[in-house]
Amino acid sequence: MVDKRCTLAEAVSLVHDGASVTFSGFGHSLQPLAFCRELVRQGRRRLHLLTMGECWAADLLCGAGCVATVHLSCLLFEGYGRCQNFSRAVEEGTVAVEDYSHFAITSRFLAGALGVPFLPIRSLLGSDILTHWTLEPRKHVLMDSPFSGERVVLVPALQPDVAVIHASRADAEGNVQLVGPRSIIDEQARAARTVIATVEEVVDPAEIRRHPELTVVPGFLVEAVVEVPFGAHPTGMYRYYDYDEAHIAEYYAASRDPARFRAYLERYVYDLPDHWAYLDAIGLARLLALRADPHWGYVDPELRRAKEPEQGGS
Amino acid sequence: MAAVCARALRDREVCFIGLGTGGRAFVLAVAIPILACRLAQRTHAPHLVPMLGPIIDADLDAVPDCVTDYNLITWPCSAQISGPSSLEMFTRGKIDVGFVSGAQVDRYGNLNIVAIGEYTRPRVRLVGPLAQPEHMAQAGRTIIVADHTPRVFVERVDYVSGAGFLEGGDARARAGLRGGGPALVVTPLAVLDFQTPDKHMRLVSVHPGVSVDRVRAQTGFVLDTPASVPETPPPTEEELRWLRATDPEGRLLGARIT
Repeated sequence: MVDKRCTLAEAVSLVHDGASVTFSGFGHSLQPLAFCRELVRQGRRRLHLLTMGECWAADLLCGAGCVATVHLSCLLFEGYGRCQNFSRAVEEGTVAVEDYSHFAITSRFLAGALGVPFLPIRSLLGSDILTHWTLEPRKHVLMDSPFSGERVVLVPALQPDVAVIHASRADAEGNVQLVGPRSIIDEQARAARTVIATVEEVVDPAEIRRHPELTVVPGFLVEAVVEVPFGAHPTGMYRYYDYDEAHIAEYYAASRDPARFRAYLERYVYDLPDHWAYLDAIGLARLLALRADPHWGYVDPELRRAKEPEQGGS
Repeated sequence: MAAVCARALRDREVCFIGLGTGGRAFVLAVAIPILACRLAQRTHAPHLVPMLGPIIDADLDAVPDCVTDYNLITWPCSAQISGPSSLEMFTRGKIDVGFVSGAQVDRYGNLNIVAIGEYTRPRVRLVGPLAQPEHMAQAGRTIIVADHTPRVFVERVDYVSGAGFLEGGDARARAGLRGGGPALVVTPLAVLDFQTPDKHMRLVSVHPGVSVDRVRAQTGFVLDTPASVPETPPPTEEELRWLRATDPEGRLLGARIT
């Protein structure tokens, strides 16, 4: 067995300045945020993000000045609205964007995963997604099907330099398992040239082999494995811990203003040496309170409602 | 608004509702469509199938506190398919009705949720297209639920993220679009459609207490307005009873779900 375990700092060093990167994430869950904080700490620059809706990584990295371009179908902060750092960077002209629909960007990843040069889709017809090209030399080709004559849009394959996937668990070889929503992790991981997995726990290979149906990325596709408990905080991991609603509100409030966001980064990233110091800063009591109820897989909704009756949307 | 949408749905139709966003956008794009689907099921369309993203035929009387992530896993439903597979339903032509909204809507029902102002250096950068292009290109028909102000109802959207009737007339067919496009626009003031020769927006009815002049004043383009505009039939006692039964604590319409 090849042991691919390494430290977070070592894994982050696999991402170079100017790399194209795609991150896992869905709503306020699954986001590899310990990895992103380490990217910020190491001062990575000019990253090219390839995203469907992985809002957290994109917003944090845009806010920290690590990003040059973003390909996206949507970046929104669930329950709050626009991604403030991302939107501000686009409005100020410091980050350039290329928009797609959900299915178009997913099809680009899928083409990359299949190893074919393009896939035909229909979704974009009539929209300005076809007419506004900013980053891609050739964003699409319109053609009539050689089989049926119907109009289709060919979208080119996307093969990111790196996919960073945060998952439930893996063995040392990188057989990655995930319970809960998968979003488009399968397509992202298979399309990428290099896959880095951060996981809540590294387990014995025998445990992985006992539940092979949970494996989302086989080990031979994975370059590095890092054990990072609470690695998605302040977002959640199904069956491990719930998202941290108070911290999300703190982040979103800070993200509305560059100076306040800078202070947020000082407090939770720059002034802390590593992820363990970050967890200390969050505090054991808070982390334990987020632990998932075994029945629900997250914090019991009744308990959450009783504790925080008016938290949430704004 | 939910009652008007519900009346436009037919039995056994598959209706696609997106998930996510917060505040007012949530009410327009998610809460009202959920209530409309449930009301239709309770009244004239018992076999209507709602798809909330990848979640098929979920129990709309048991909407979880958070409809954005793993809380979805324990939502009773008949199937949870993958995200990509749910989008394939559009390509396959299996979605009868798509619910959509927008920060801008123009006279031909084109929608914008990408950027206000110039694309590469926008005044306001919005969330991005989501699955709106799939809805607008491929759903059997779409229902637009939007706020009714001159800022929303504009002459021409700054960016077409969802293709309505484009420049009007047969522009949809010429662009190769297979879906039917926008069939209905439902706002807090009125009901509108596109049943005009060149497919521009037409006033169908005004809600009780709303004047035609007020609708015109709140619309940033010239509406096709019949000589006599009827009043939207208000919700019946039965419709109100079912709407309240589905959202007794106002979690949906109060956007207290995230």
